[in-house]
Amino acid sequence: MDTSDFLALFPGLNECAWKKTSPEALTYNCFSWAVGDPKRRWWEPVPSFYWPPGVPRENTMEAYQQAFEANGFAVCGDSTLEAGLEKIALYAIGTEPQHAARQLSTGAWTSKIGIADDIEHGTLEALEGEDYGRVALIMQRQKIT
Amino acid sequence: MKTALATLDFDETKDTRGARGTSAPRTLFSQYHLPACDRMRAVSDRVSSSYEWYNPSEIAHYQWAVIGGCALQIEKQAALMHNLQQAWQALEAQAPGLEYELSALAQEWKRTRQKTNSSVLKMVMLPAYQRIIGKGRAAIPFLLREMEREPDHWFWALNAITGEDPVPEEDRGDLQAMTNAWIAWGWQHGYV
Repeated sequence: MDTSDFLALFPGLNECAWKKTSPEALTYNCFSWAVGDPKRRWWEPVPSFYWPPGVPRENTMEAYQQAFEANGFAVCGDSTLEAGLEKIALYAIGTEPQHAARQLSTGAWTSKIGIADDIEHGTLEALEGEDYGRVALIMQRQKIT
Repeated sequence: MKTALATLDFDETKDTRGARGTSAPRTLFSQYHLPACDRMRAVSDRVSSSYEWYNPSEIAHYQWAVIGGCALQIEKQAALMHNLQQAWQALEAQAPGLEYELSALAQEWKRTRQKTNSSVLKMVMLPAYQRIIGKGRAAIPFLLREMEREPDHWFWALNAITGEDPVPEEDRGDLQAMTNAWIAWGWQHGYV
């Protein structure tokens, strides 16, 4: 997507530093990117796609929380940068998850935008709005080195 | 090696002395837009740039050796494309205009899906996608050919039409591996 498309879809990007960090790709999605599993798509609670074993294939916050827990994450209080910890944020509209972002060691966030590019954005609020709703859950795990 | 390539009509004895490059294989491989052929073209170009004047038999031997590594893959992929084309022509004879309609629907689907959306569930609910599913089994060769050309989320449609899911558990979510599983399914069921 062009820069102008990003700014039109996510006006919050005007309020922070951001940049595109990859070309468009279909092979992974925001959830696999957030978890650090960019070789496959996961999230889709449909039979053909990966979903962590034992987690209900439901489009609910509870199911996604369990899916992230299965990958070592635990619910935490806030998105403050903490040494040795990797944090992710889950966006939702109502109770339906829409997007996930992962915190970088700089404190900025990285997001795979749908079937478009990856971007780095300074704040979580930058992506809040019509498309992704609001940040509904923050989780963390020990950083994998 | 020569037998394996016989169908590709490579003329080893052709005297290309004086010509720059190896025109026979270069032309041959330019017919196919396949990974193995791309590699072969690159090799052919490298050889061409290394020799201004050469003994054609030496070059031919060198190329036979390199070609050997790619031959089976080329034949398999060429056969797949050929079979897909035949299956498609058979369908076209039964339902003229179907290719055009499916192609237009596929393009409409790609154009109308929201780029910020990660959810395949939302993508497959778009009208153009649903209309492709509505074509039933007649759409299968088109979908397999589309996947072969450019892997995309046609799995849902194929699953909805056939009621099958040939993707092994360990390949779920891996777009290329899922595509390969469906192409193999197409072979087994005579669609390609």
